[in-house]
Amino acid sequence: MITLKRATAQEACVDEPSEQPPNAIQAEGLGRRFGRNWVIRDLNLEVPPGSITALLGRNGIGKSTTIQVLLGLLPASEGTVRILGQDPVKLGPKVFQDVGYVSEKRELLEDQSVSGLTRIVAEIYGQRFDTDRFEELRKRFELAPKARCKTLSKGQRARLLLALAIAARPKILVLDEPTSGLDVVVRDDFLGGIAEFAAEEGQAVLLSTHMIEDVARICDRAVILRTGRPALTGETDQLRASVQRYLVRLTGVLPTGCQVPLPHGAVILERDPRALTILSSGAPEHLEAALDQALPLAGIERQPASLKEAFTCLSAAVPGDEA
Amino acid sequence: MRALLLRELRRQGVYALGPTLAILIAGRVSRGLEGSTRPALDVFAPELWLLLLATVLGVATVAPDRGSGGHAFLRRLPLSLHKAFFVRVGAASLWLALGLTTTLVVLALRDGGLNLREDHALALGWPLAFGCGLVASTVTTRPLTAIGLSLPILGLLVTAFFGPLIATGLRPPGASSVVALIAVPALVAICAAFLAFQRGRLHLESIRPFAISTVALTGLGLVASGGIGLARTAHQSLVVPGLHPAIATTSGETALVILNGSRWYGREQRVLVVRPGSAPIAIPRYGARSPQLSPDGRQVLIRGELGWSQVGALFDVESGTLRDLDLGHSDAADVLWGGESPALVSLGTATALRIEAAVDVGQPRRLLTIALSEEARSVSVDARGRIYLLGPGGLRRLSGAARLEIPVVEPGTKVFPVALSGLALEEERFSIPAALAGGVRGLRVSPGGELALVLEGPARLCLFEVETGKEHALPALAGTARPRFVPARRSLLRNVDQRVLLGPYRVAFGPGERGVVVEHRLGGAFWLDRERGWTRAAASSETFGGLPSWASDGHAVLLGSGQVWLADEAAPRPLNADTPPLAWLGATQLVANGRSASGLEVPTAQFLTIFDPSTGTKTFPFGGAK
Repeated sequence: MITLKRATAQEACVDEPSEQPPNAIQAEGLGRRFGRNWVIRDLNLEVPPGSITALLGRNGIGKSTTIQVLLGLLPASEGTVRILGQDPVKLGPKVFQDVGYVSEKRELLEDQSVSGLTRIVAEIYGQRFDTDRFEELRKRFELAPKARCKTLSKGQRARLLLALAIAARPKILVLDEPTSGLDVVVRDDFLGGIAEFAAEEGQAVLLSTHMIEDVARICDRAVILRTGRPALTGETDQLRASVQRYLVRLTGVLPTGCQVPLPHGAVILERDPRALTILSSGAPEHLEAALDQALPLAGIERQPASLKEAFTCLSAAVPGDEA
Repeated sequence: MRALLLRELRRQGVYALGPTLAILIAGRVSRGLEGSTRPALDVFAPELWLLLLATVLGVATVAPDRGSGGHAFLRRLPLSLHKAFFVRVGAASLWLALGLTTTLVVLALRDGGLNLREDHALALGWPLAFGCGLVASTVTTRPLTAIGLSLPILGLLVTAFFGPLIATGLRPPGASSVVALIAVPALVAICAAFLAFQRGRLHLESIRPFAISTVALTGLGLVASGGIGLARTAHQSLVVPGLHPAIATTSGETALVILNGSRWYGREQRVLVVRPGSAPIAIPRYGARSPQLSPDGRQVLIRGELGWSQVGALFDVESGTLRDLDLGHSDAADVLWGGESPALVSLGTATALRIEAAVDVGQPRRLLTIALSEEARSVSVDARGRIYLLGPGGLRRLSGAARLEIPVVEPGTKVFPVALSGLALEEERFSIPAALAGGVRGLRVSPGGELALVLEGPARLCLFEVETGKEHALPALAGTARPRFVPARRSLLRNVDQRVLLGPYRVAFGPGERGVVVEHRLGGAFWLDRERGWTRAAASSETFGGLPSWASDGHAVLLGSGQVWLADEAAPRPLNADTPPLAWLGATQLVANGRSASGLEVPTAQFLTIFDPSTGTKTFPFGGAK
């Protein structure tokens, strides 16, 4: 059965007990459009303190735009955002006192060396910047202090940005596709750094990625952005459990091009002449009933889905899916 | 912010270095060109490279850093955008200050000193160029594209702000006003760039502040030009009190005094005609650039200051009537008197002489273009209406031009040059030293046509007898700084009064072809009495304000600094005057401001005092104005 929580505006409006700390990030009915084109709309999202939340979605779904709107770098067209209980647009650049942000493009001051860049960042953060912590991370990430930023590889840039972000002792770390393009070793290092940061008390991480392996490894929550439908939020285990894999055996041969009637929330993963692999977030009896009417069934075998399969199923663009 | 400022200085230094070096090189090259022929291009003007430096720095302030992601990186730090902007602009300002200092030093070395009164033109361009570069840098991330884009932005801003002023026929009232006027679009550009920078994106939205600013600027220009126009119209027929006399010129027994006064809407400028024995007449017309007296002293031609087009007026001293004239397109031109109305003589090209008749406003133009068989570099007209042409081939004189019928130009038709041989002109040739060939930059011929002053190269002045070609070698100017060479200003003769300015020199021919007085702009003067030879006056530390002039009998000289020298004495005459005299009036009288503390009050008279220079005492006050 589906156990995922679909955040609604009504739910979001319910007052929380005053003694509870505010969510690190909270968005209600968030929307952003460019011209007439809505990139995100009606997004409800929360990142509780101490959690690592993955922001998932297909390419072009608006993950980076969502992050920029959440951080106040782009104004929202509708809805509200709170970062540690405050409006990031009103906070302006002050929001980055508490938020470390590693962008997808990994921009640096290309004309600076690692140490020069660190000096500038440390000067801007002032006392808050932990130089010892940075040095520790720099050595661990194998970054030479005299290396010029423009000569750094993708992985080195990502690690440098992470080290700088963590050394500024933020309460929230926001990472936009941080591991894309990194090799396995660098990725392990990088994810280790994020996990260590999150292990500290009350620090939250929002991680935008399309690498489900990373999510499975370190994230405890996930938000799935979907085209034309409200986003889904929940814990990763719930997310995985909400989808089942069905191996459907047929008594005859399924003609090529034959339309298979599927209930809402189900997608075909693999298709053979005598068998189908279907992912579904709906009730099994609904799927069985739908298939039984249209196909010569030999049997249906239910298996637990992997996180990747769950993501595939939940993010599939099925119009009118109410799963 | 120290680390960030140092980073900006280092980053922008890469862009600032080239143009700064170019300023040094341009200064060195233009210094080396002194005394040689006029350069074909103005690329050796250090001021030009200062403008480029300002544009490049404006572009470098944001664009390259934005393109490489540096701006995006800084946006993700707790650093306010306005602080980031001011750090960038602060670093650019330091580089600009270095460039400006370099330019001033280069100009001082080249010219032997700085004349900030005139060099404040330097302050005109660079803030605007910087602002436009800055706007361009918020629109695109590519430096070269941004530099290219800054030019149309500059054009747009200038058109938006100055367009209404031009359309309503108003000329900025003075160089300092132009500085103030240019400061407005410069400030607008910088503010628009700041707003675009704060938006922090490269969408079309970033150009919105600039677009809004341009519209606002156009409105401001309209309001300003309307206000100025109304104020001027209201004062057009009045003689405004509180004007100060500035420059005066003399022709025989008549002196012209230019009166100046600052108003909120610009500079008031009037012309006063002063003659012995009668009350001075204030010409009832606003604006008085380059007033010129006819050789007989009966007419005054005023031009400019009436609008951006060449509209002038002819004042008849005897009858007191004023006639509006269209002077065509010959701005820097000598006046050919003799016909019904004056004509303006200038060189259209090196081989085309233009004679354009001043016509009543609204009448069709009358223009005669004469094709010259030989190249000419400069033209001058004497009091008898003879035209002198000087070029590599020598000096030629055309007589009879005042009698020529100048044809009417039909609108929309092209004027074709007429061959010299087909006109009823007498042509004479005179020999001049070969050294002058090719390097001529200016020619002034005495009213009688006996003496010719030639500016050779940027600063060497030569005096010749026209008929014989004999040269009167000019003495060196003791204590005088190296003359200024400004290649960007092509028309060296275009200034207060074209008859008496020759490059950095101000000259006045003596009566009866007796001699000439030459005064350098930065001090130092000498005069030639053809009977006695050269006399050199000590360099004066006084401000060079007026123009030199001779007493009508030639016995004394008044320098622009206000000193009066008797021609046969080696020291100036002390004068019992409240203020320095402005011009000779006849043989024994000088025109001066009667009140030193306040400006003239024209309607209440008592503003001119006549001095007897032989005794240096004040003799009697002058009458009031009409």
